[in-house]
Amino acid sequence: MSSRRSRSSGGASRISDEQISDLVAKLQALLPEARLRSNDRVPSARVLQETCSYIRSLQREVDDLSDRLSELLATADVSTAQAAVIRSLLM
Amino acid sequence: MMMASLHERKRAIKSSADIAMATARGAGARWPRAILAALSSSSSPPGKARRCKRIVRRCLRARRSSRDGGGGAGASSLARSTAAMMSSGDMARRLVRKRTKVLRKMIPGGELLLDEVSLLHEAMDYVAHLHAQVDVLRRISNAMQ
Repeated sequence: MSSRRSRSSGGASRISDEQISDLVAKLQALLPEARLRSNDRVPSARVLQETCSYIRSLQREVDDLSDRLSELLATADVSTAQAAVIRSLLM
Repeated sequence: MMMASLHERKRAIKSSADIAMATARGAGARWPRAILAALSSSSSPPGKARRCKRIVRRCLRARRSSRDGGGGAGASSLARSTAAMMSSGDMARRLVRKRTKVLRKMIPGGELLLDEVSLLHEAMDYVAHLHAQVDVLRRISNAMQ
């Protein structure tokens, strides 16, 4: 049985560990607690999990803001030029 | 002028925001195409998507800015690149694979991304888009008050 090394200096198409962990670090920097963590590396699985919950909460926020905006547009003074413009753009 | 229900209005606003943001992003990421494809097959009035796109293109022309695309890497197999993400052990690898699957489902068009690098680039791009979308909706709401 031949054993293969999990890391090899492969060809150009092989994705390196470093490339992946660099991307994970960049992704980590986008997450809300990034500032608190300074430069500590967080395990990849954790970054992925936090990214998923962050995306979920952002999508929920978009949903809530759309709700709020539709209520504002409903109650806004129809004669306001600004409300009319925004209404025609969004609805 | 007024639409029938609050729910319909809310859906119209959200889909307009999605169309505008997806059109503004243009090429270089996958999620915009997925959003536009999903929305064009739904029951939104046909003129609206066109209108949104026209407005966005006008704004982009005025700004004359261009963005670099995310650029995925070559087609390494998922198993290989997932293994690269683990620190040690089978457990970690399984956990990463599981979380990767979840992330893939949350990104529009994510199911079509076969390699890890593309998925991570796409995730970053999509998070940036959501930030911007929240910002835009907040500003418009504040302008209305």
